[in-house]
Amino acid sequence: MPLVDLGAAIALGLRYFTIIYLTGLGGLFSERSGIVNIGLEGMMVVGTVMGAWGTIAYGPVAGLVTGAAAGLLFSLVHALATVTFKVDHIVSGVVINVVAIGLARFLSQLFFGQATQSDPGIPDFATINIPLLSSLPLGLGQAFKGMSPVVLVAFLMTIPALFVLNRTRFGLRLRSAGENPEAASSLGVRIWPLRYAGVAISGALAGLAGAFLAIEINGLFREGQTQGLGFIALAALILGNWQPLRLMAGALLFGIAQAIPLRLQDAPVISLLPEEFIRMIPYVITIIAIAGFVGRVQPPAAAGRAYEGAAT
Amino acid sequence: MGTKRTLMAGIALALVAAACGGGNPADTSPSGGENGGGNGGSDVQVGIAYDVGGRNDQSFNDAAYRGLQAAIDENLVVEENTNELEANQSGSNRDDNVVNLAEQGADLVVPVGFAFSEGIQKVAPDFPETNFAIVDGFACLDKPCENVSNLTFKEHEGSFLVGAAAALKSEAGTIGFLGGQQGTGLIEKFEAGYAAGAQAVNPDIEILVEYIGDTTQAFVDPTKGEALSNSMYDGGADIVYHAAGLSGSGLFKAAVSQNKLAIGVDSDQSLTASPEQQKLILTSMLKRVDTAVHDAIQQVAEGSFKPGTQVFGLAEQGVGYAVNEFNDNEQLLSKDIQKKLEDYKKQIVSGEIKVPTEPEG
Amino acid sequence: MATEAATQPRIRPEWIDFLVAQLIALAGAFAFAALIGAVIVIAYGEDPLFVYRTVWAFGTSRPQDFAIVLENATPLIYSGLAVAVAFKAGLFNIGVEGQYIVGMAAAAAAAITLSGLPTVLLLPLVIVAAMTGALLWAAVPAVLKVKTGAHEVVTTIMMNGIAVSLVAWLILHPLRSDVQTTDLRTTDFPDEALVPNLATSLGIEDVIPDSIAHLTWLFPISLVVCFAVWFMMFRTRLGYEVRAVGSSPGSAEAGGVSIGGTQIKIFLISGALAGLVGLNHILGDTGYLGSNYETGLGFSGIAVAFLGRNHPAGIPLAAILFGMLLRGQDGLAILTELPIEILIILQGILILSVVVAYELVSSALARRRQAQLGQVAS
Repeated sequence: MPLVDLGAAIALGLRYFTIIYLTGLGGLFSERSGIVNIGLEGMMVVGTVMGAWGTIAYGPVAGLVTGAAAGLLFSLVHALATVTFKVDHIVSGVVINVVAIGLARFLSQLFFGQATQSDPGIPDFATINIPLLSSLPLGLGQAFKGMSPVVLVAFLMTIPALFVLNRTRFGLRLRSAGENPEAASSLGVRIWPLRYAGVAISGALAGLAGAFLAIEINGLFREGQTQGLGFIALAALILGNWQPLRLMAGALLFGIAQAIPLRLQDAPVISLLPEEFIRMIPYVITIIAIAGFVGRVQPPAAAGRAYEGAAT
Repeated sequence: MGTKRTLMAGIALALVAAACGGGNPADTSPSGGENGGGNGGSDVQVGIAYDVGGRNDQSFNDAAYRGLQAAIDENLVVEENTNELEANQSGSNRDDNVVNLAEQGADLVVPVGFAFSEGIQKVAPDFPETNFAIVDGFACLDKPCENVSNLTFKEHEGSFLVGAAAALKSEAGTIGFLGGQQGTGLIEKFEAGYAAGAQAVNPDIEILVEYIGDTTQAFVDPTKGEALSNSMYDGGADIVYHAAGLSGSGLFKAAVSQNKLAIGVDSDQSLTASPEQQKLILTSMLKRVDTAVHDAIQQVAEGSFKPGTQVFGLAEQGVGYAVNEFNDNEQLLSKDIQKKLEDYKKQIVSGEIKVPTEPEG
Repeated sequence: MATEAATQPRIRPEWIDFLVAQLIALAGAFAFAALIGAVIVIAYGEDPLFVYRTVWAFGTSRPQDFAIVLENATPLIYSGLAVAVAFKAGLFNIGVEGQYIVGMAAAAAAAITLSGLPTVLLLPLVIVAAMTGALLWAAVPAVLKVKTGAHEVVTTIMMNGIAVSLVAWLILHPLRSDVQTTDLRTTDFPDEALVPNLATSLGIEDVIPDSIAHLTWLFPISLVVCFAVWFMMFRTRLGYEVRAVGSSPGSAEAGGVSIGGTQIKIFLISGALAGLVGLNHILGDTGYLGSNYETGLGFSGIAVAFLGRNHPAGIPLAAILFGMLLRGQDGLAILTELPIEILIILQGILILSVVVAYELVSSALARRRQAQLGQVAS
């Protein structure tokens, strides 16, 4: 089975894909509603600690739910600051990230009696083997063995995301709030509930992704475990031009890049690098992708701009 | 100097106490303050400074905590007179924590981890009233300090036994070793003993070795621990032993997903594992940090602190292998294996077998 | 922001209104944070006044306590300044974290390779090396921002991740101490590369022992740097351009200011300032660069900058407050059963409420001035 390491790396990459994709989808809803959300990382952090708590207390399904709920609640701070108080979106997002670090320490101390981590080996989901694909030859089947069911859920999330965004009245209004709030408002659409909703969806999905990271990848809450994945999700969103399907492609690229230092450190060429340089690979790939693509994408027109209300 | 400083710490505390007035519930909170260096029984003030990973690592730091608990249970020290400080994520406040504990008048400070050594060597002379017992320490080796002792372990001896157990149990003829931080010589001791034990049983055994990384972060990276364990299991190993701190929790996850065996380290890790993991943990290499910490507290309580380096090996019951209700059966650690391990143990204690401390090649 | 309102007719000098508004916002935010903090402490069954007094006592009881506070504040002043200068140009340097650790590695490399030079040469060279290393690290996101439009928030975070690995490699390989220890660190720096302890220089080391507080000349220097930043921002052409680009890029460009050029310049200056963040740790405390260097100073710098209103006068005050809360954590850990994280939460609430309060007050101020202007005009 010569490619077993590659297969295993893809399997691990799919788990990281799940984090990046879910968070990116969240960011997509927020930014399409007009609120730039660089606080995704912080919302994910809150999801890791609360997800670990929920899992230890009530099992992994509850863990995902508590993680998402915590992310949602925390994101309302961002919504309050940017929508209601009209604080600069990036300023608020930066503050969200800084505050999340302290909040996670506090919650960890509260729930786990220790500021930096929970007990390791928290309960996780039973894994599944994908029929047919998991019997691919040369060890590549490894990529589809022992998969977390949440990975499948993440892929399937594309359908409701596309449907809500493109086929519902809510989606249409959400997008109009992000493209031209003044015009939407003049047609009688109230902007602030839409933007609150967009941010809340982003918080819930980032929190869900954080819980997934704690439950299904690391098996514990640990301070600093998100390692910039929220920002990588943001990069995937930019790369994906704020479209779900292109976002998925970007998340797959960045997800597999995450697996390189974990499972492909002995692969040809890569093994020539010192361990520390292998660990840089995911970050370097992200920078190159962003720098190479950013000029060719189009963010939502009103994203980042406060909507001043109905006053002419 | 030292007395003056303790006195000043006392003043600071007095200020705080005065400020908050009497009858405040916070008055009962643990406070250091003046102690005058009297080391009589329950007056003893003990501070523990944990390393990165902290409490709940189900390994090294937890073992130190158990030692403290044992001392409290035996009334060597009163719980109110103990203080525990945790290192932050990067470990940059290790020295500050130690100084804070010493400043508050601790009679004994137990820094849990070799990484404290250099800092202690610097600050120990400033606190002559305080004794320091560093777990895995290597401070003051050139010229002994009067108030510093290093509590060191012959991890290679314990690892020899679990290596032998692995080789006796392995059906594949291939076993694995998951190390935490490479390059310090400390984890290499585990590796060397493990390999020597396995080869003593089966000279042809194949031993796969993976280290998680080069920095102390390697001890807190369960994800990479899991990936590397999976990689060794995929490569044919049917038993993997870890000396990787918290990262070892990744090994147990991999063992469950691959239905292969694992060996724990430091504490008896069967006791804190999930039921499905317990069936797969062959044994754990015990490093009795708890005993060492307990003994150090006892020494200070009895006024007989021993500076210098104290070595805990098989002969001193400082290392060993775990037998518990989960592995004491034919599926895991059979009576036959246990008997052979006891033989090896005798030979090591008697000096018949010399266990290497550095891996070959 | 509000500063742009009102130019000609004056009812009251604008800056007085502005200052009063800022103080009101600050006081409101502090009161709010203290209140929330008190609620949390009471929920833990302890007395909030005792907690606040403990924090105060641990930061001020003895000279050495306050010295520790200033020691804690020193790196935060540099890091707050680094964030603030970029912010003035509308840029978010979230990469101070990575820049300062690269700066520390550059300083370590200089101190070790140039060993043998006298202090007057070596120390300045080491400091310049730190600033240059950090500046180069900041150059990557700066150039990418201007040339490709890649948002600096994403690229600087990625550069932070790369910096951690790069510095780990440098410490483990080219710069690793040849003395065999299990501690991973560089060789000891020569004494000529170290920054003298302030108390020792002033002959008061028995009041402030250097084993307890590592308060060095880098603290007074940080105040000088604050002044220099103020001068640059408000008395030079570059500072004018930076503020123009930050407040209104469109009109700045119309006025002939090169947005890209200004952004690159100020980002490099921000990086150079970031290079100073880690120096107190390695040149004033350890005397080598170990793998357990201090982290998070860059992120705390963001909080300090926002709390200090991105102003060179506000930043040292905010940094000292943070230094005191940091010292207060020692007090809480030793004297109470409370988790020290309460103070970290308090910092977070403070920052959030400060940001919101300033926004509220300045929009209220803008409205009022507009109304006043309307009156004067009619």
